[in-house]
Amino acid sequence: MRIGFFICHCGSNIAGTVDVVQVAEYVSKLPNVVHSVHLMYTCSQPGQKEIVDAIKEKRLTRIVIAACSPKMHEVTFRRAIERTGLNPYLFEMANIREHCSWIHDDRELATQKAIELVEMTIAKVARHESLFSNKVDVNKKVLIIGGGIAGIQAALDMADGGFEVVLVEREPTIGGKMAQLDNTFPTIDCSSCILTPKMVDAGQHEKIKLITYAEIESVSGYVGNFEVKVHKKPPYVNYEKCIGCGICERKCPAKAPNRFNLGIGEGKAIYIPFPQAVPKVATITKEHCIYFKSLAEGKLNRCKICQKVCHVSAVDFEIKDEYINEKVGAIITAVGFDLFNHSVYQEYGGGRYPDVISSLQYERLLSASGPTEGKIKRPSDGKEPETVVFISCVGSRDDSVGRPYCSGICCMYMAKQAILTKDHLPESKTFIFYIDIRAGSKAYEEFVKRAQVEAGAQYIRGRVAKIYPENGGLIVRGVDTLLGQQVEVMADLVVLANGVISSRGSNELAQKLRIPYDQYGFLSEGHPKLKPVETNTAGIFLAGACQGPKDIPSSVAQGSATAGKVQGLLSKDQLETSPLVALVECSRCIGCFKCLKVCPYNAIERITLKDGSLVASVIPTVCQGCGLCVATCPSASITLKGFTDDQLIAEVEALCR
Amino acid sequence: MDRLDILKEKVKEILPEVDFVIGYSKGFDILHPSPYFVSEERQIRNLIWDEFCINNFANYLPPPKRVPNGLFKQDEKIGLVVKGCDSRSIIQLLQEEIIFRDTFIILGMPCEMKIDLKKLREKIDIDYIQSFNVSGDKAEVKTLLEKKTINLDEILYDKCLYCKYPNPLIYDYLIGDKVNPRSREGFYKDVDEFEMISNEEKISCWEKEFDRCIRCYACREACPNCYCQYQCIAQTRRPHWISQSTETIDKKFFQMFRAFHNAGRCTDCGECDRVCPVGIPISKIMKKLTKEVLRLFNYEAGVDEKLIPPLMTYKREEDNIG
Repeated sequence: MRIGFFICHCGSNIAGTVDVVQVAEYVSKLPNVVHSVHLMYTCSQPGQKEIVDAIKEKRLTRIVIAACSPKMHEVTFRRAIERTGLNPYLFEMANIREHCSWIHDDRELATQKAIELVEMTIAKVARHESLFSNKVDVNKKVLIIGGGIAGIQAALDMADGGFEVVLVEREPTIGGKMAQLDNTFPTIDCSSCILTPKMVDAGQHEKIKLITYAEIESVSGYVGNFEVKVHKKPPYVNYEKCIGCGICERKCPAKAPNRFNLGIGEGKAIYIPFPQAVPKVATITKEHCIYFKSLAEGKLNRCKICQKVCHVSAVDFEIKDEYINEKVGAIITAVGFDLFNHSVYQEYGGGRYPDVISSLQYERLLSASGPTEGKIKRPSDGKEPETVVFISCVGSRDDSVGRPYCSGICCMYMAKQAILTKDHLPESKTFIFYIDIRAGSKAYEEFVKRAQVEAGAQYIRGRVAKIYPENGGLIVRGVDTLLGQQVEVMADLVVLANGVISSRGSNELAQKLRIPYDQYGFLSEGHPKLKPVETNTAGIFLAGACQGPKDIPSSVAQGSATAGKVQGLLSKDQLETSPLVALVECSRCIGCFKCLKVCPYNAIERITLKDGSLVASVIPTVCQGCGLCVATCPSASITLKGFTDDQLIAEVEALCR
Repeated sequence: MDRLDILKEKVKEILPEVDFVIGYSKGFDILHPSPYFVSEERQIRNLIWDEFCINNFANYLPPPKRVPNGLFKQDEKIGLVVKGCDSRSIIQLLQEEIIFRDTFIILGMPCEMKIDLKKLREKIDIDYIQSFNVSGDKAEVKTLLEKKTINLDEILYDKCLYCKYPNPLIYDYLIGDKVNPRSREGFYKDVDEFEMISNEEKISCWEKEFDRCIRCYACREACPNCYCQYQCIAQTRRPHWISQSTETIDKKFFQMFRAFHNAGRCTDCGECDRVCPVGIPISKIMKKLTKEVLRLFNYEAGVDEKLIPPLMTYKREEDNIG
């Protein structure tokens, strides 16, 4: 065995704290080490050349590089080593930057720690074996979860690139939050006018299979070969037959809150979400339907009016839950966001005042297709408001409700809503209580100016302390921190700028997808700068506000970005799988199959040996090398290649010497 | 009719269906009944049932444990006599899918009590035992040298003293009437007391205990949950987690990993403790673990076959952890 050791200065990142010369000298005296040098930047081209040359000249059979985290450069070095013909897995990195130099000050102790880390790695590498990757075929279909603007954009880009797309949407129609908006900032163009063409495209594209009113039941498999079970909830209307004429909705006697209008105005138990819905079909909400309610009570009151009036016999109360299995190569998660529920703010009425509404409810009031047909009428008495007060940061930048982050979009939509209010009601006055104005993107600052100058919105810097009703209106009492005095505004309508929170159910979905999420429930990207749309699970990507608050341009950009990433992935016919997977030593397996139960990837199968005994076996292309089975196996019959027990014991022993 | 007579009748009834039935027969003295394999009808008369029939026959069930030594055929069907506590071991093994319900018939024996020979030996020299008769809550013990009346509560196994499940939780045939369970209160008294002492004292106490271990692996062999057999990592050289030396640290390591392999699985049957030739109170470690599992997961091993053992699954937010 001929071990070559290279320690990296990383400029002063490592050499500033660790005496790399001393480490190299120490290591050169260790058994089996035939080459030990320090390099300024090991990852640079000259640095890699040094390694390649040393392997050839000194006939090295094992390589140890002490440098940064393997997450940064393991692949770089593996490729360099592979160029010499040496197996790239006969190599190990010691992380003396993140684990040592960056976190310590004392040069002497840090050097000592670096030596220990390197000794462990050298002990481990001596027990390395050549490993070889497998190849698996790639399924060229993509699943997109969430039919909001990000998901639609990703679906269209994928489909236009010639790939099959399965688009799953939880609601009966695609369109997402954007479909509920009236106009968009900073151009004040009609939201549905720019969205619905894309919805129609997505609905009609021959490469896109739309599954609405459905959720993801389970996900198994791995990059290139996911198996997804989609749960199609029963809409009690045959979507194939329904032509969306809407007669059922008009005739339905059962009142229900209108979900699309967020409770403003009435809806029916059978409904078409909005006129441009894709697919334009009716859906029955079971909890409000008279027939289902009477059925649950055991009475024989059978309404079934919708069924009687339907021209195409689409209403079918016998529809059951349906499960659709799809095999895909990649998954794009675009499940969007929800708005913060402002009822926790007691000072704003805790949701009790009908004229204190959320920003999205206000969008529905502004919208021509909304419950008031675009006329701003306040919910309590239908009066047109003369004074509208906007309050920013409701559930954003507020530690007291556990939401310290900025939602990013509220400043802009408040400015937009102020402009639209002036547009709808030229006599009205608008006040905006704000903390800061965040208008960082292209044409945003100018847009806020437009709200202030053209629409005459009065911006008051300060928080609102209390809202209370008086004389049929609402008194908004707050502070103007710029003037340093209390202000009171008599408002007819108060619109709260609700912050962005993670979409309901997104964490459960993340668990099914085995992707991480942060403390606020937003799904975590692979790297905040360099992998903004990837996740740490290969083959699963993120688009739009599920990753964090985002406006429409960013969501669309991410939708396209994921499509680009997935097209790159699916353009390959085969993928190489990591050889760092678990292996069952079948002669030692006792056949208890605890590994099979804990494996999150279904990578363990039962096989029968020649002597008839039933033992576990790992499917190497499915195994992701997580090591759960290794830890579970009571007889230690499973090893993780590249991290065998012997290698770990050697490391521990080297440390304890 | 006496419970033993009912048992004999039942064994006779099921014998044609099974390859053999495991019960108890007389051992070298009245205190040490031994496991008895009944494969022919004439053997039935040798079956016994008394306060000393203690072996947990669930230990004979896991195939990894019995196939390598050729004691059983792989596809045979057996019958076995099972006490309340033993039935929990069977449920645990069924949950682990290491045994299958259609391969054995359970003759469930409701069990009043078993006598702890270690406790009895402290009261009287049992090497010259002649007779042992229970009357009420007392036992009359006669040896060659003396005759004594002893309170039963002083010589029962701890697990019997606080027996919550005297009646088998799973069985095909229940032999005789059910008996009343006892109160569990105080079962963890010894563990609670041990928890109070300092860590240093705990370590030195256990080092003293484990120092006596001779690594005979009797505890492992008697444990129904320990079915790794020759693949037990206490003996394998690859990976070499534990050396074969008789240093205290290796013995401690063996006992500790055996305990952790049993966390959430141990049913407190106490066999490890009973068979230890040097008297290490192994079951105290196991009891600590069952107590912790009860506290953390509100779970008792081997009580309900339908439940998933807590350490074989996960919950995103555990109620009592974190």
